[in-house]
Amino acid sequence: MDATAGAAAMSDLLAELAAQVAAAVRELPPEPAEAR
Amino acid sequence: MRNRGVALLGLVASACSVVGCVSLRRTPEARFFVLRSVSEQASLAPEAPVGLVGVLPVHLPGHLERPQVVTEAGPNELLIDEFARWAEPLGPATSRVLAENLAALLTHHRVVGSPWPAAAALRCRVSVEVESFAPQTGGEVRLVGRWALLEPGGPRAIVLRSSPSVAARCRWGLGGWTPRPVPPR
Repeated sequence: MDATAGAAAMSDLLAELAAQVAAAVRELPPEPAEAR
Repeated sequence: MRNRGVALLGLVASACSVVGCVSLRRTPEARFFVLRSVSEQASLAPEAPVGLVGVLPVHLPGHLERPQVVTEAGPNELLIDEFARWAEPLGPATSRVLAENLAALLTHHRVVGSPWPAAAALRCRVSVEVESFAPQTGGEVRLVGRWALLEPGGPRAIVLRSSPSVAARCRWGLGGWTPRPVPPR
């Protein structure tokens, strides 16, 4: 794999990681202020 | 007179040998690479933020914190390409791109990178510890490590679901994501 493709694939993996983290943040229980 | 001729001959011979050692091949130029965030989702209209998410600096192993692009050739061997370099240090670049991606995906939240103001009322902090983040000689790229959503003011990982065995801490890789149990408190 050349470095160009490697950097692009690493960017894609970071996007996948962000999607996983974002899904977890969305599932956090609402804060008390939001719940009111 | 003869000695002077011999000395001159020696001088010419050594000069020729020096010229012969100089390579006429041009040294390859270094190429510089960057990590990019997800740009197409950044154009989504932001909604009113309901929470603040802090992204802690991503922790990389020391062997990746170098300007050259590192390829993993095996469990104990790295290939370091002197002519393929990161345009910015990989750790801060990883943190920046992760925060940009989260900002694009979490339209209900505001995402801030570390350091944030002490008075910031965070909803959670994102912690990422990377074990491996590099191309492999086999042609794939690995991203292996752990991530957690931490409570705003302490080290405790926030449990996301009611099941006590599921927490915001996982191992990941190209093969898919595997839940990792949180150690007992």
